[in-house]
Amino acid sequence: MSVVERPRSLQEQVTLLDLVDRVLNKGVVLTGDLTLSVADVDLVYVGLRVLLSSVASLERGREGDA
Amino acid sequence: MIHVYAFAEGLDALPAVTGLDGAELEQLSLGRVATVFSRRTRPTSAETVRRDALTHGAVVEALAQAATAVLPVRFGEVADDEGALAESLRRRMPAIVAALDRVRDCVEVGLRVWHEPPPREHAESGAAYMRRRLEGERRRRDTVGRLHERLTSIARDAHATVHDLDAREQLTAAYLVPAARVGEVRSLVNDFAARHHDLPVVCTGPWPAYSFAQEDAA
Repeated sequence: MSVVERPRSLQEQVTLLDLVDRVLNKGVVLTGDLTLSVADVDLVYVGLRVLLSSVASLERGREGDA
Repeated sequence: MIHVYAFAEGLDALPAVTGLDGAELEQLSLGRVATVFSRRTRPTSAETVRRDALTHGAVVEALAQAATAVLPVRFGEVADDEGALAESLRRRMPAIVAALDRVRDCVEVGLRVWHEPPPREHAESGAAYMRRRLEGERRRRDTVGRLHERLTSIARDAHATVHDLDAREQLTAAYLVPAARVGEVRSLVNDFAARHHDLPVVCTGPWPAYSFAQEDAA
């Protein structure tokens, strides 16, 4: 049962990682004229945390497969 | 303050989704380009950044479904009011129109390729192990390179990072693909995944063209 779920969970993790990476790091940058609204939040850190949790779950999935 | 989501062209009506903090979407039209935004009273905080970023993504996604061309704005761009926004946009409009032209009828497809190292065979010597590993790395680089080339030939534009041979993630790429050709990309990637079990792939999308929004609009 969990074997069936694992690939989907990896796909979902990476999709979330890709979404957050795109939203936070890509797209048109207007700052310079406009201000960045995100007060006291390190967006790089947020993106990195998602990456780390994604990689961690990838590792877990692999161990489970073995 | 107002939070900006995206520039859109050919938007008949705003999609039925709400923006940050549940606010309704609004648009400011300059020429053929609609700038989609919503109003809010407080900035994103550490507690809300995850939820806010996902909401931003959902709004851009809904706009991409409704419009003929969409240029996502990076999360976190705000203006004091509509006047400040309009002032900022007027000078940028030629670049924004050019960028919308570039992504029209295209979607973005994300691709990540990993390497799954085979278990070391204990019987072999150190030299044999290193030789086998080097051959494996060369073969992987060629294999992943061929996939990237074929996808690039379908795409209108591509951004790719090929990682070090030793890295777990081998390729991180984004392709700007004509919407009509996404099926070709999907079958190329599926075919690759079926043939190369030591190189797991995750293909995401179709996305709005986040990775191709910036260049001319800067």
